Amino acid sequence: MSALRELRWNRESRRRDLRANGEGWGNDVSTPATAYESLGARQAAAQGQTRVVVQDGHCSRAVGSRAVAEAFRQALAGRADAVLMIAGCDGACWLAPRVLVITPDGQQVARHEIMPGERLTAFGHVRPEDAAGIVASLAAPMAAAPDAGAFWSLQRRVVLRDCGAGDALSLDDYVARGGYGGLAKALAMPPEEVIGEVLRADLRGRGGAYFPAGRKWQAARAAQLSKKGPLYLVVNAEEGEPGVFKDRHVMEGDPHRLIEGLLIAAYAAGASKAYIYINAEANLSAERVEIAVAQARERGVTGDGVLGPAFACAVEVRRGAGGYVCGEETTLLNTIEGYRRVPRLRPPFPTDAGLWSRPTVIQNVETLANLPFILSEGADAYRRIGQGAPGTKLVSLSGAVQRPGLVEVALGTTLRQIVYDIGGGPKPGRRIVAVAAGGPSGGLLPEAALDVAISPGLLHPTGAVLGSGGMTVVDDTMPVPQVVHMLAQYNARESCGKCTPCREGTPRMAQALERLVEGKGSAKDIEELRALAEIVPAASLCGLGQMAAGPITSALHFFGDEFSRLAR
Amino acid sequence: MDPKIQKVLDSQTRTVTVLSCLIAIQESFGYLVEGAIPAVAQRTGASVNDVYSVATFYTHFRFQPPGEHQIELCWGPSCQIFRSDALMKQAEEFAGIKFNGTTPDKKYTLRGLECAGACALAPVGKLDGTLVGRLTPEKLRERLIAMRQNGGGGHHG
Ligand SMILES: Cc1cc2nc3c(=O)[nH]c(=O)nc-3n(C[C@H](O)[C@H](O)[C@H](O)COP(=O)(O)O)c2cc1C
Ligand code: SF4
Ligand code: FES
Ligand code: FES
Repeated sequence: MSALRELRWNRESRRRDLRANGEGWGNDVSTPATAYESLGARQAAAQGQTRVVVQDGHCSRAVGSRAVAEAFRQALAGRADAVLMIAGCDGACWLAPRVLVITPDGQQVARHEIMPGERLTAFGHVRPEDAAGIVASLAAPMAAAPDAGAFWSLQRRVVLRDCGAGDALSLDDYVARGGYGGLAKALAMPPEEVIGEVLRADLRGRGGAYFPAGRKWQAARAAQLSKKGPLYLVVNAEEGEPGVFKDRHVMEGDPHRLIEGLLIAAYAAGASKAYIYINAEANLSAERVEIAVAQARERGVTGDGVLGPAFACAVEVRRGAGGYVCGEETTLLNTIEGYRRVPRLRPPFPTDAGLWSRPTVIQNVETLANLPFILSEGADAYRRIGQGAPGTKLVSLSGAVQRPGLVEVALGTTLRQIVYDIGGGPKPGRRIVAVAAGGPSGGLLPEAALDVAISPGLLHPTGAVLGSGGMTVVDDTMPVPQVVHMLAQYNARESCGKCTPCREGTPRMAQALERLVEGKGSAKDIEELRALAEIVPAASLCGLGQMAAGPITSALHFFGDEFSRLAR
Repeated sequence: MDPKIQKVLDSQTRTVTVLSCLIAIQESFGYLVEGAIPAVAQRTGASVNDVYSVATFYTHFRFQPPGEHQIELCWGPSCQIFRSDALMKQAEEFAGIKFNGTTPDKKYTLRGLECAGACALAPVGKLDGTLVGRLTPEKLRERLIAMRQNGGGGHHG
């Protein structure tokens, strides 16, 4: 490995020399500001035309969005007044497949449904055979407006602002929406100042641990001072946690926002190479991010010069090969290096010795996608969003609600608002019993505890946390012990086996629960569950084992009676 | 080294690792063909043992060619809440085998998915590589019958 590392290092330093001589860059694009202006010069091809936006994402394809897009392509062929645009989903999954018609108003159209001043008509449950009719009446589209209740009005969209209405395949469109403006601003500041701004915004890691992003960058910078060689940025886009589908959404719907955020972080931390690590199953995310990376490289936004010769950062997409534990940051490093998917001992922390033992900053997709806003609007504007802590959180809302989907809310919003107002509450005739927050690593909160506001810390003293924002709603069709059993089975299947307590303990928890659920359990099984719920977290190396008892502990606390009833 | 494997390994354009080689081979052949492990070892300088342990560690890799048709159903939490267990039973009856197996005639492979990433459209399945959401027993039955009727041309991946 060391020869390879040396080779890489030589290449980096050669690049630096090139840059010092200003090679490869004309004089006209020598500052980030002028380079940014010249980016915008090509923008807005669709000005004055009606945009027919088909929301085509990984999940909406599962209900036919690809066929819908093809039908609109045919219906729009030869039309000069309207264009087809491919977007990601806007998060209203219960209405998928979705099509938006955006008619020009003479002025820049605000891009999202929840923003004022636009002329936008939204269609839900669109079938290919609807295309001809919608295209025939573009001038005055008839909205098949379904009742969305408070689905939009309670959301605060920063990261998802343009998801669903912005062109997922075009750098020009992103620039026309103000994109890469935050990066241009950052590049005009010294890196320390960028870090200061992000610290002031109090941006914390949205992968679930909520560590201040700026502090990580400072630590990596400090480590690099004592070690010659490159510093890496790794984007954690694994998203293997069941019930979470937020990062995928951002990558499919607004990939340039991720790249802009990545470049801001790389500049602030001093990284010369970034790896975007995408799950083996997320093919559409990888496809759209690859397209965006190629466009950015071609237009001088990444690579040897990022909006000018002063800063260089190469971006490479890497694919994984499956497993929840691959999202754990040190496991991720092993995976990128091509080894087995097991976590590493810490310390050393990745900011000291991460990828190929180099200082490495690891950041979640959502965390990075907040940066363009923070830099372009400023930390103060960011701090004004949210109560208790600044900013928003993406919440993947699924399970037994009327309006499941991907939502973005200001921190401080309550679970009840998310489940009942945004999600529309239970299906007709049913009753909501609990919310599994944070999936197999989280906790089960009963309906009565839903008034808690979401925040980076604990949601409840039993240990329920916000985590990466997965929320699966459970109604009275499935008994709580059965839900806990399936989460425990999941942990048992996904344990990597490195630590004995996790390897042996997670299946034993699942087996005890299985006996209870099948009516063959006894009070001894509950005792065993309680004991294992103490031992396994205490003796486990990574978060999977450390959090594996969360659903059990919280369920025993809140739904103890249901378990006792099963233990005859 | 088998020239077909060699060609696949040589076609990688990015940082080459044990894992990237294994992914490349499975992508081209649909599974880790015979000779894959030593070839990757030779290519990366890792030991055969190391390569083998990487290959067996990730859930993604298969050592057997998959059946002609892939029937995958999600058993993640949201899908289970929407009774994916009933769909799984239906698929098992259709193929005559249990989940995570291939029929002796190599016609069908049944596999559980941890979470297909489309939880808001639960229950979800993946039939011959195509994700299908909002499944119902009727919709699944239709798809399975269509699968049986169009015979060959199974999809690797
Ligand atoms: C079992 C396990 C799985 C994880 N999966 C993910 C994941 O899929 N995506 C992610 O960003 N972080 C995941 N994390 C958290 C990462 O270890 C790490 O904290 C995060 O990537 C750091 O980025 P952030 O500070 O921007 O959140 C996981 C942690 C554990 C213990
Ligand atoms: S806690 Fe479990 S998943 Fe994590 S390293 Fe240990 S055995 Fe592996
Ligand atoms: S339907 Fe695509 S995000 Fe929900
Ligand atoms: S649980 Fe089935 S798609 Fe997520």
